Amino acid sequence: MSGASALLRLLAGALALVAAATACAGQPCDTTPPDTYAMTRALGLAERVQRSLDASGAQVVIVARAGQDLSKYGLQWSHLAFAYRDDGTIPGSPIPATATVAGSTVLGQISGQAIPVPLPRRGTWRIVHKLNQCGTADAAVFRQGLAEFFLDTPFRYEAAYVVPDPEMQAALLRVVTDDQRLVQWHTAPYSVVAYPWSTRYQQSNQWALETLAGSLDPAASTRERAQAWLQLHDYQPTVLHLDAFTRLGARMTRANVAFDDHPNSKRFSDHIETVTVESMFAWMQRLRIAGQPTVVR
Amino acid sequence: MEPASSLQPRIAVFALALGVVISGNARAESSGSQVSQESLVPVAISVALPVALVAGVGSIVVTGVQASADGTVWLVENAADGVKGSIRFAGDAVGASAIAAGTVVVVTVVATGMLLSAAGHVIAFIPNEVGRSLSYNQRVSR
Repeated sequence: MSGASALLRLLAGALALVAAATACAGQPCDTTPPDTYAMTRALGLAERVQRSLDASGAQVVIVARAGQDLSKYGLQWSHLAFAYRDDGTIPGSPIPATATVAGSTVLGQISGQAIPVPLPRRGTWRIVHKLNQCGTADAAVFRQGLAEFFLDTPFRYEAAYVVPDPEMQAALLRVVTDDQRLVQWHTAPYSVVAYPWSTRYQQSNQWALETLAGSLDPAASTRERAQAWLQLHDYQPTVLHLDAFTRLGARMTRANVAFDDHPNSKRFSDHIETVTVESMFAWMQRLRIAGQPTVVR
Repeated sequence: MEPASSLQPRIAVFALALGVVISGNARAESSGSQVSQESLVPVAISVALPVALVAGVGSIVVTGVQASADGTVWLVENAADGVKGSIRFAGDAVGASAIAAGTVVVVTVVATGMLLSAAGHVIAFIPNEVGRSLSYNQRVSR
């Protein structure tokens, strides 16, 4: 292979994985205000998901979004989170039931009569998830609203969620409402294709999976132990087939892509294992700890 | 498996301002987030508008901007009939003070409140009860 063609192949590979990485991720940070159409659609989806969750009767669900097009990898969803209903009585709840509105409470005036701003309703849904920030090599855990979850200019304005069995919901609820426990299985160093059986990096879905394991078994109190628990319970990650040029190109151009946590034998055979929404949903159904996904459009 | 952040400034902004509305605790936490300080979409914390203007779909003109330590107030006027009103933002709702007098703002009513746009981009959000319940932002890990 000539030097020029090798370089071209490298660049092509880099671009391909950059696109893929961005895909799993969402958007790089920019300072452009959202356009009206996109924000309208995102808020609309958030509101429909809220209604669907209300109707589900669940207290905790695992919800996914389609941040980018991953269809070339056979994936429909890119990112997941825990969603829980915060009725203001849960210990550690961020919004007390008696929350008050800061500042004026005037929404409108009719003939001089003020209309009070309504307080947030009881049973508000909150999201907890891990986010990589602006393509850097680190990530953090956030608690957000459904609007924030879908305001990221997704590839498709759709969501999917599974309802865990009641016992699992109860276990998850104790964790998702507790800030200390939420970071118990969190590692800041981030790679979008983090190896599921290593603790060097951690991607967003991997954090959710390990947190789920730790919630279900008190013995799975560290990342290592949570991963051991997941292996014991036959969690099977997704295998992405990424060749050497693709891997090298991505590593050179993205701070949030790394492969040095993958075993050489797998890496050099283009066999990249990582945690995906699809693999988590399938595993939970196989174990009969959650039902079929509900899709909201 | 989401690499480049899902936490765009636009979202954080949105969350920051609304955090002020619903919880002082949320506000403090959001303010500590670097991304929040880059937010671009201020969220109104109160609106004093004639009901005809609130309910109507159309455009309003920002006739004045008053900034203070407590926040920013937009003085607005219905473009069609000249009816006047005001919209108030929290002091740290980034972007609220950047609007120029004379800006024509399109009002779009959605199920979650009202979006105020200029040149096709959202410049402010006035949430209703549903919209308020959908938004929150707190960084849990340091």
